[in-house]
Amino acid sequence: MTTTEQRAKATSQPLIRVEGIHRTFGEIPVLRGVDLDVTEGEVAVVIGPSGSGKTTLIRMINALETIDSGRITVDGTIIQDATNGRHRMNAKAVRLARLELGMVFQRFNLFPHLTALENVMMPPVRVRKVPKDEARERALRLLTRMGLADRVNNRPHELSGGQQQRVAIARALAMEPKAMLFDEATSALDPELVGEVLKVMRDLAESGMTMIIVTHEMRFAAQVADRIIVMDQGRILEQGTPEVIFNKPSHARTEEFLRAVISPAEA
Amino acid sequence: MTLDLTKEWLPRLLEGMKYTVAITIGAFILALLLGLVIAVMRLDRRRWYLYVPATIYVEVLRGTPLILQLFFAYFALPAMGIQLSPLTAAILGLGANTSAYLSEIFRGAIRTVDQGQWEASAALAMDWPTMMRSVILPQAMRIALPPTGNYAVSLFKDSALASTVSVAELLFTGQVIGSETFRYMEIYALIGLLYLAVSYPTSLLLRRLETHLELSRPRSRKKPSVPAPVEAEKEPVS
Ligand SMILES: Nc1ncnc2c1ncn2[C@@H]1O[C@H](COP(=O)(O)OP(=O)(O)O)[C@@H](O)[C@H]1O
Ligand SMILES: [Mg+2]
Repeated sequence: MTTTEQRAKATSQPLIRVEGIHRTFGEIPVLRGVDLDVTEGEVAVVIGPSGSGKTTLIRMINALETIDSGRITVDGTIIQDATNGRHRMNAKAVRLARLELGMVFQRFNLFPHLTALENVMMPPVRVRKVPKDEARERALRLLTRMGLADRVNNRPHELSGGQQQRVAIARALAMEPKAMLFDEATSALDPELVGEVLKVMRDLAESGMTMIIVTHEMRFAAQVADRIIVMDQGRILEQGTPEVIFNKPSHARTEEFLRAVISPAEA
Repeated sequence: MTLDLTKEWLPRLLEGMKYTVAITIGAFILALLLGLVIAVMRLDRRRWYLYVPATIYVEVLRGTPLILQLFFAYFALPAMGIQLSPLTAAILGLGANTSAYLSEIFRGAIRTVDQGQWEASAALAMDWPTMMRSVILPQAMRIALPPTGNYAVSLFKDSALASTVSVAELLFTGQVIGSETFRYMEIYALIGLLYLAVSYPTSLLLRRLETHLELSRPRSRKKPSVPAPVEAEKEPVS
């Protein structure tokens, strides 16, 4: 990246802007005032203990979850607004935001009645009205890039978890999103399959894709993150570069969390 | 008897069978379309303006006798200025009735589609009709297919009720022949065989289809092909 590009990026508005988000499920406050800006090309990795609200937060960005207060803006378009008590969500804005955001789920959520190729082809054809031939070509290219050239005609249940998740990533990329959201993309995988998925995510990060990644893979986080965001009990506890967060965190709870996740696997 | 049977009765009965089949096919197509619409209308209670009328429709049709519904279509609608031919009235009555039951099957099948499928489609910016058509319904229909087939067989048998609104279908034709010849025993036995000749092979076919779908369904645990040993059951469980 050239310095002029970097400067342009620094001055441009954030691609994703989360402001003052609160959310309560029943009686339980799950998010308690979260602000987060993600600029184009940035890789933001969200970590934190289970139940701290990471999934809820990431799902709000593409309006799979609603907010109680605050505002979410994607590429300059407000998609959810609850700043003055009333919740407003504009269907057209939500659709636009979803077109710009690819989402990868913990449990893959591939379409079981379609082959890998059809999973990747169908959304661009049906949603973006891409001609079939073009969509097929794009899907084949993406699946090849994911190392799945020989799996294109298999149904999801014929694929391993790692292969399924790579198809899911290809499916999201086929919509040509401006940013990708990953919610614990490797948590449902057998340990020996985690690496192959992390590899394609790393490649994606290196290609300049804007990404918000929720993960428990700390070594991976340290490698790809421009910024680490530590969540705890519905708040952002602290954030900073991997060096700062992993070497000299400001909060005792961050240290505690990092000790707990890193020691069993990597010490 | 053989002479009467082949020369006279059978051609007339087969003529009646044509109507039976026509009623079945017509009513079934109507039931599929209405059933799907009603099922979709009842998916979301918050859309009460769809949910409430669809629910009333289902409860009325399931809570009243089918024969009453047929009489209503044929005898009562003319009082409102709607004159239907016997065949149309039968197709309408049977189709509407079956649609109420099919809608419940469809709704149940749609509900069994994993929540993650709705979310993945939404995240891919699909609008509701696209989501339904490309993701949810193709999966739901696989689940709904066997019970839907069974309703087709039921409908085929229930089409005999059309005789009460004077459609010259199989049973009606048999009754006419019976009243001419008084050989009710033979004629009704023959009609029974004719119904069976269609419904039994269809049921067998459906069962095979069901097994096929069961085996080709993702995540379905295959039953062991060898029955589990039974000796263990003889032992008292301590
Ligand atoms: N739909 C829901 N209804 C009720 N509680 C929920 C729902 N979704 C999440 N929660 C609760 O919100 C809290 C945060 O959940 P989540 O965002 O999944 O955290 P994380 O992803 O960090 O583990 C948890 O306590 C969870 O039980
Ligand atoms: Mg989570």
